[in-house]
Amino acid sequence: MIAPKKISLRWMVFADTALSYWRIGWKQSWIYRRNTLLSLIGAILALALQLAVWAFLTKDGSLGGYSKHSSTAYFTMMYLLGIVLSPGCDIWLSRRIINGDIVLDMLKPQNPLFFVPFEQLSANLHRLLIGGLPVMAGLALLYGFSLSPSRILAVMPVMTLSYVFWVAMEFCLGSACFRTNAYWGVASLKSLLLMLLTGRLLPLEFYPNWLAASLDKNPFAIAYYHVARGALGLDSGRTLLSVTFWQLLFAAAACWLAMIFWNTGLRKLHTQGG
Amino acid sequence: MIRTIFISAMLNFKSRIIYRWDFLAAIGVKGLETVVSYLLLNFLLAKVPLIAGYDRGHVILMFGLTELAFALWHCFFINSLSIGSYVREGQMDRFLLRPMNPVIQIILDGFDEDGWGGLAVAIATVALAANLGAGPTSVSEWCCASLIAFCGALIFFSISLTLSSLSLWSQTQGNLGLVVMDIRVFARFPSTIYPGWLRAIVSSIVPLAACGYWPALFIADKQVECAVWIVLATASSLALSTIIFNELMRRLYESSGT
Repeated sequence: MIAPKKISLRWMVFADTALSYWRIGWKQSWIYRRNTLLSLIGAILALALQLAVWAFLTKDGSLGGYSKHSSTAYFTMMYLLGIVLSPGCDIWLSRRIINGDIVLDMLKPQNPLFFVPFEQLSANLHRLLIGGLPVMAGLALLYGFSLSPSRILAVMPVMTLSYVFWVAMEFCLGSACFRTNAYWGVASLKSLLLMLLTGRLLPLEFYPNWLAASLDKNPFAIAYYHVARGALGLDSGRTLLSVTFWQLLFAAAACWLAMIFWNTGLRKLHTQGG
Repeated sequence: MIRTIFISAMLNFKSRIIYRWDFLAAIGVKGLETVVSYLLLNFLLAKVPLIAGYDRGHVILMFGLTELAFALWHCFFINSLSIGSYVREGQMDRFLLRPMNPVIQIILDGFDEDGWGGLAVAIATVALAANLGAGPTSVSEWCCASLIAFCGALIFFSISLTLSSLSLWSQTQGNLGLVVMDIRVFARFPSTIYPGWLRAIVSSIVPLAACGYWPALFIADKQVECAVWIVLATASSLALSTIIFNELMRRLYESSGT
């Protein structure tokens, strides 16, 4: 008789802790729901202005391959991705380092690097449910674009990998605080990368050909530009498969870098104190 | 007052240069951010040479003046974003105990020299617009442009003060004032491109038109009535934001531990 395979205790502890962090994030978002609501109103105002600019630019027909409807769909997707892909692990980490609370995290039996993202993810999904999806549904009805479940499923792997990449990159940026003891300079770097590399403000079709070609497969463009195009059916299945593969490599490299930065930072903390 | 401002500025500068690597990185990156914004605008202008009838020079002037106003806001008024933190951490009390207006104290508590990089690039962009025949050319026009940009900075301050004050209601550090950073992008375009209801908003409630569009019309096309609108928009938005802040403080602030 073959004995049933037991689930390792280590994995059960991991799952249990991850679930606890998830619950904390969800509860916090609910408790501070006024803040969630206000930040969504701000994001919706920015989206309305963005859509108005593009509605004007495309009023005489297509511009850079985008019609009024496709540009609306594209920027609405960017708005949704902006809600989901903002874990805020860098802010969390830098605050802990500056306040000296990071020492408390080191007393815990588990590495916060693996668990904090769950707390942030549940907060992101809470915002998505409250404000992201209703806005998307409203605009989809108004402008007559649709998101098929099959296309959403097709972009889920690359979106998940993008989230992992984003979390790892934020930990890399936040870990810089171990050296600089301040964060705003590094935070500005993140907004610069977001502006230039993701296609959030301007789709890559508007960039000069040589620049668009060289930026096409960067992890930030994959996380935003390709995910948005994939969800709207503007990218082929082959392109999606290719960007998923690339994002897997980028996510693995970013996780490796995050671990190095984190361990180097902790070593400094052990030597010099917090 | 001037002495207090000077002392606050020096204290801020000293506290900032202690973290010199972060300070230098922030100045460089802020400058680069404005350069990248300028490049993106140029990519767009390559496909759309005229936006609502305005040529490249006019659009670059609108961009430059908006960035100049934003950089001034970043340098001098960015601390309005800290209201949420002050309330949560119970630090607002110390502003209420001193014999000076709390709003002025909040401003003086945190100048941000990181904005210097953006300020330098913004000035260069306005000069570039002048080279294209749309920007200020004489000393008096440059003085006028600087004053108007300062009005724009005050408008950004009013928006951030109003939105940050709402953290008294939401009771979080989460910063709605950061919305200023997202919506300033749209002050770079002529407000005539927006539909009626949105144009009404950007001309009155959130007067973004007074940060880029009206100033550009005043400087490039000498439309004097635009200067009147800019002054009116600045004064009314400042008054409104201060009233909102004071009212929210009076009704909702419960001292430390709100």
